[in-house]
Amino acid sequence: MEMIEIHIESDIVRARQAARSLAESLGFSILSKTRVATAVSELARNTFTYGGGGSMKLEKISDRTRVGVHCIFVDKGPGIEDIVKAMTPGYTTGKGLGFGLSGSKRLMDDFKIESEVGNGTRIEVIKWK
Amino acid sequence: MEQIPILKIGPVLIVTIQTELHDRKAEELQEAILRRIQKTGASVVTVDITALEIVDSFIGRVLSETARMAKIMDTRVVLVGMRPAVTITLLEMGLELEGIDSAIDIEDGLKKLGFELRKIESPETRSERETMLAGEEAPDYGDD
Repeated sequence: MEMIEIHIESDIVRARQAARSLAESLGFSILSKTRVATAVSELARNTFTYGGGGSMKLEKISDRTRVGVHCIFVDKGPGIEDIVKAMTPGYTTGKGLGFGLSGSKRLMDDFKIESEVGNGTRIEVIKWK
Repeated sequence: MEQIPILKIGPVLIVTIQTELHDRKAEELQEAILRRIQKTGASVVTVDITALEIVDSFIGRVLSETARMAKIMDTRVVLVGMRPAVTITLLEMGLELEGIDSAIDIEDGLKKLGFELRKIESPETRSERETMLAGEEAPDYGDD
């Protein structure tokens, strides 16, 4: 298990590199590694930009038949008022493209988001090999 | 922070991204490219992203924005060397790099724009062959 603090912009790069190397060590294909690193980059940026910073917990996950990469992003930011809207491709309240959440959901196998206004956001994702 | 070099060959600017691109660096590169276009009047910019292991929505936005801004300055931006995994990932995310042309490599990119690489005889030693870039316009070898 690895905890990566996301407080400065270069932490986004650290987060995606860490996720990529975990995927690599688990034998992910080049395409799957790219998907994981890209999704983590999007989510880490959200944590940094909208959540005001936070952390990513990164670990290997396995069940009886498969292994995967498991990430949990947590911030104590303002939270998301309307999650359905925030998940809509192209919707953004910032200067991004609005593909961070919807895009990373498409790239990962499991995607769970919990957010409370005033209390922050928690996003949990899994990519199976 | 090390700078990404922008080389000029005749009317072409060649940008090769060789390091991990974090957000601020991507924005700085955009500004540097636009400034260089203004200074040189370049008609084409090739941006080689062969080394980029990922292009996320932020980098994608900066690249396509740069292409649109360059177009206003009458300059075309060609993105070269995008890895297949990066292309697939961008498409899966639903991202389109609007306004940007792409090519397999720099040679292909320049060919698409009407430039060609020609082998020429070196004036000093005829046996020595060199490859040089030949454009439609007379190449400018001076310092810009």
